[in-house]
Amino acid sequence: MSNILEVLEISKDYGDFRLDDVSFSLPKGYIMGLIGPNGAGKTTIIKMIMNLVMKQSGAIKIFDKDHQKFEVEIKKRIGFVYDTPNHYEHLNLKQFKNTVAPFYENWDESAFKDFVHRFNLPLNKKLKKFSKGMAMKSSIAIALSHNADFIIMDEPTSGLDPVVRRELLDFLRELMQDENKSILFSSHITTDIEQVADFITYVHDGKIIFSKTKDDVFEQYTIVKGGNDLLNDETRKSFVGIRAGEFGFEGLTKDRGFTENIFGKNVIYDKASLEDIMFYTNLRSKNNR
Amino acid sequence: MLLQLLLKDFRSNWLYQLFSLAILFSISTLFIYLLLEENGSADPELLIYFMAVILSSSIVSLLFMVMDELHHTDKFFASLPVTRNQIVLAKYGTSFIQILLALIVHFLGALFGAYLGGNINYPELEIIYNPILWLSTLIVLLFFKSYAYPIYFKFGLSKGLVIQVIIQLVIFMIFVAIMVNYNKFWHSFQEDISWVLNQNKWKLLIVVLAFFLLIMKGSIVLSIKVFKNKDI
Repeated sequence: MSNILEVLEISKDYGDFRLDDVSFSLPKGYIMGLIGPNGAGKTTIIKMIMNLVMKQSGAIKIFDKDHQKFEVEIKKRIGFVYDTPNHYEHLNLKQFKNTVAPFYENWDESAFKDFVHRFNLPLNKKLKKFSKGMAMKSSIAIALSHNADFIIMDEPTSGLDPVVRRELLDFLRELMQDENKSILFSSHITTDIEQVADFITYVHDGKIIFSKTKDDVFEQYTIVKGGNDLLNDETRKSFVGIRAGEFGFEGLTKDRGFTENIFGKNVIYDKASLEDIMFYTNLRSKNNR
Repeated sequence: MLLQLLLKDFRSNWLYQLFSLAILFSISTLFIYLLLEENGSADPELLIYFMAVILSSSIVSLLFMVMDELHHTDKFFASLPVTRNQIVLAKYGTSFIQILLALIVHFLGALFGAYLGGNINYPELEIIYNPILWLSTLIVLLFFKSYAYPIYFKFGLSKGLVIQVIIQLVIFMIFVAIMVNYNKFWHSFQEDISWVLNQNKWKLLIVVLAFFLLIMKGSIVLSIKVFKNKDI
C-alpha cells in the first residue's frame, strides 16, 4: 500500500504553542480525518502540508516527493479547500472560476459544470451574496475541477447546517469510489469524521495522540462506567480521563484488557465515540496542567 | 504561472482599476483646466500637480493589494500551483504596470485639461510635455515601491503601510531640511552638482535608470528572501 502523504517528525515553535514531532501517513485511496479541539494544531499541520506555513524541522512527502522541492508539480494534483472561502466577493462564481482555471493545465470545464449543477450553484450571483453552505460548495467546485488526486480540506463542514453537511459527506464518500483519490480533512465535528474517515489522526496540544485506522481506534478505546467505591489512586491510573459524579464514575480507557483485569464485571463497558476520546484526553490534559 | 498571477489581478478587479484610473484622469484634467483658467504658472502650481500625480498614482498602485487584503485572496492564490518567487515577482510586475498606467492616464488627463482650457500650447505647460519629467516621476514612484515591498512582505499590508508612511515622512523631512539649508549644506558640492546638472539629460537619465534598476533588483532579492520563510 503506497502512501500519498507522509508527514515525518515536523515541528514548529510559536512560543506560546508548539507543534511537536508530528508524524503520520495516509495510504492512497483512503480518507483521513484530522481531529482535535480548536487550537490543537490541525490547521497548522494542513498549512504545513500545503507549504503555506514553514516547518522548522522534519519532512513532508506528497506523491512520494518533497513538498517544497516539487511544490508546483504537487499542487497541480491537489485540490485544497480552506475553512472559510477566500474569494473576491464582488465577482460571481463564473468570473471567479475564470480567474482560477488558467492556473491549472488540466482544468476540466465539464467537471466544473457538473459540480455547479450538482450543488445547485448560481453562476451569475455575486459571491458575497452566497450563504455559508453555498460558499463552501463553490470552494469545493473550484478546488476539485482539475481532477485532483489528493483533496485536502480544512474544517469543510464547520458552520454548515446539518443538511449541507450531510450532502458534503455523501459527496466525499462518492469521490472515494475512485480508488486513485485520497482525502485529508480536518474537523472538530467528530461525527463527520466517524461517518466517512478510514483513518483518524488525533492531534492535541500540538502533539499526535494517535494516527490509525478507525476500526483500530474504536477497538482500542472503551468507556467504563461504575460505582465510586471502585476508584482509588491505583485504579484511576488505568484511565485516559475520568469524571466522577454523585452516582458513580465514567472514564475512558485505551487498554480494555488491562481495565478488565482490574474491574472485572463490576463495571459497564461501552463503545467510545470520538467525542468521548477527545473529551477525556482533554480532561487529562487539563488536570495535568 | 507568473503571467497568470499578473493577469488575475487585472482580470478580477478591472472595474475598480478602471474606476481608479478615471479618477486620476479627472484629477489631471481638472488641475490643468483650472491652471489655464487662472493663467497659473509652472511654479508652484505644476510642482503641486506633480506631487499630486505621485501621491495619487502611489495610492492607486495599492488597489490590488487592498483587494487581496479585504478578501484574503492572497492566501487562496498561494495554495494554487505557484511558487513563492512567482508571487513576489507578480506583485512587482502588477505594481509596475499599474504605475505606468496611472502616469499615462495622468498625462492624457493633463492633455485633455489643456484642450478643454483652450490653450494646449500654453507656455507654462511645456514642462508637462517633457518625457524626462514623466520618466523621473516613474522612477520616484518605483523607488517608493523598492522599499515598500520588502516591508509589505515582512509585515503585511496594514502594518507595512504605517511603516512606509513613517519612512516617507522621514524622507520628506530630510528633503525639507536640505532645501532649507541648501546654500550651507551643498556649498562645498556646488561644483559637483553643477557638473552633474550640465550633463546631457538623456545620459543622466540612463545613469539614474541603471542605478534605479540596481535598487529594484536588490529590493526583489530582499522581498524573495523575506517571503520565502513567511507563514501565509
